Amino acid sequence: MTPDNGAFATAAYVLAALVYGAYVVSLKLRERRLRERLARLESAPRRASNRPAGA
Amino acid sequence: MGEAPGTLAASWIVARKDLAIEFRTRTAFLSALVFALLGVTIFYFAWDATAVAAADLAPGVLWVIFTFAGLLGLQRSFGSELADRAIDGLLGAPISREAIYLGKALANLVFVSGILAVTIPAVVLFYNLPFGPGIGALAGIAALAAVGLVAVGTLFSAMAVNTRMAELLLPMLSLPFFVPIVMGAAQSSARLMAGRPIAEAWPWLRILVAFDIVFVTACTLAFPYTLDE
Amino acid sequence: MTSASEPLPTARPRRDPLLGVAIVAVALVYVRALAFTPIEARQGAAQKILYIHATSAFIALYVAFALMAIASILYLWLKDEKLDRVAESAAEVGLAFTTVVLLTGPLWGKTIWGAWWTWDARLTSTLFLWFLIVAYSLLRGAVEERGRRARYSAVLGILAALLVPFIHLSVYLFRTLHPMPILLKPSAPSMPSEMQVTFFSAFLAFLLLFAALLRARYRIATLRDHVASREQEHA
Repeated sequence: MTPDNGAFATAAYVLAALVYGAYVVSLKLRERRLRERLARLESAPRRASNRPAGA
Repeated sequence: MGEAPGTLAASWIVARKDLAIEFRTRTAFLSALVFALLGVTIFYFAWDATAVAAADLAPGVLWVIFTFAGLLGLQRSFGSELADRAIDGLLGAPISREAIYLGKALANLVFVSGILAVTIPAVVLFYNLPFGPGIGALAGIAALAAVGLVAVGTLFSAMAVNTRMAELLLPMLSLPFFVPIVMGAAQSSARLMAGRPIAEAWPWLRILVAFDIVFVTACTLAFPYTLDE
Repeated sequence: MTSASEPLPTARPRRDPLLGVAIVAVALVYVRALAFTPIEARQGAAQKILYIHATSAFIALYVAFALMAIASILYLWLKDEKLDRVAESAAEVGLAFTTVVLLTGPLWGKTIWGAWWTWDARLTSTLFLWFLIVAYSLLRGAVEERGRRARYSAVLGILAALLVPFIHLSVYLFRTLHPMPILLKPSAPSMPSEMQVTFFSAFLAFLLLFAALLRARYRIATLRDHVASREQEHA
C-alpha cells in the first residue's frame, strides 16, 4: 500500500524554492545597493588631491 | 644571557608568566570554580530524582559544566595582552610564535585542571558516584578532554579578543568543536563508571585522543596567522 | 584593493545569463521530478524529496564547504584577496544550500522514520555544518580590518573542515551503540532508470545554481571591497 504523503513532497519543494528564491532576491538587492553607492562615489565632486587617477 | 630558549622552554616561561598573573588575583579562577560548583548543584535539581538515578546523570552534567567553566577560563586567556598592546612585548621576545601559543595553552590547561580537581570530587559527592577504579579513569579522561578544550579554546580566544563581541564570539566559535570532546568524555566515563569493560569505552577514548592530536597540531600551526605582524 | 588582473567594478549593472539558465534548469527539474517521474511504491511521493535534499546535501558539503576550506588554505599560503572572497562566497551560498537540506530532511524523515529528527549521523553533521558556517559569518562580521578578517576566517574555515569528520564519526558511533527506532527502512534496490535520470538532472541543475550564486556573491564581495576602498579614499 503506497503511503499517501504527497503533501510532504510538495512542502519540501515549495520550501526549497522559497529559500533559494529569497537568496537570489537578497543577492540582487545587495548588488543594486552597492552599485548605487559606487555611482554616488563616482559622481561626487572630486576633492583636489595629488592622488593619481585610478585606485 | 646565552642563546634564546627553545620552544618548549619558552612555552614554559610564557605559561609561568600567565599563571603568576592569574595567581596574584585569583579572581578568574575562583569565579569559574564557583560557577562550576553552582552549575553542578543546579543540574541536580533540574531532574526528577525518581526518574533518573543521580549516578547516571553525573557524567553528562560533569562534562557540560566542564565545557562552560572552561569557556570562562579561556575568556581571560588573552585579555591581559590587550591592554596597552602588551602582546607586543611577547612578540618582541626571541621566542617562536608557536611557543607563545603553547605557553598560553599550558597556562589554560593548568587553570582548567584546577577547576576539574575540585569539580570532579564535588560531582562524586553530590551525585553519589560509587568509589571504584572508575574514578581513576575519570581523571585520565578529564586530562584528555582538557587538552582538547584548551587547544581549540586558546586559539579562538586569541582571535576573539580582537573583535567587538569577544564574550559572545568565543563560545560561538568553540562550542561546535567541544562537541566531540564532550561526547567522547561523557560516553567513555559513563561506561567506565558503570563498571563496563574498557573495551566498550575504547572507541570513544580513541576519538578523544585523535581529536587531541589533530587539533593541538592544527591550532599550533594556525596560531601565527592570528597575529598582526 | 582589487588586483591588477581584475577589471574594476563599475556602477553599471552586469548582465549574468548564468543565473537565468540555472533557474530555468532547476524549474525544469522540478517539473520532471514532480510530474514525470514515477512514485516509489514503498515510500510514496515523499521519496521525491530526495531529488532536492540529497543533491543539495552533496553540493553543500562536497562543493561549497570543500571550496571554502581549500580557498582558506590557499589564502593563508598565497595571501591573494581574491581567494578570501571565494571562501566568503562559498560559505554564504553553502549556507543557503545547507538550510534547504535541514528543512527538507525532516520532511522526508517524518515519512521514513516517523520522527522529524533522529540524530542521524548525516543530518547531525549537516546541522553542525550550518552552525559552523554561521559562526564563520559572525566572525567575519566582527572583524573590521580586511586583512585580519581574511586571516581569521581562513583559520576557522580550515579548522571547521577538520572538525566535520569528527562530528560525523562521533554521531555514527553514538547511533550504532544506541539503536534508534526505525519504522520504515529505506530500501536501496536498483533504481529504475527514470529516477536515475531525474537524480542526475537534479544534481546538474543545482550544481549550475551553485555556480551562478557563487559568481553573483563573489561579484558582491568585489564590489563591496572596492566601494570600501573608495570611501576610505574620499574620507
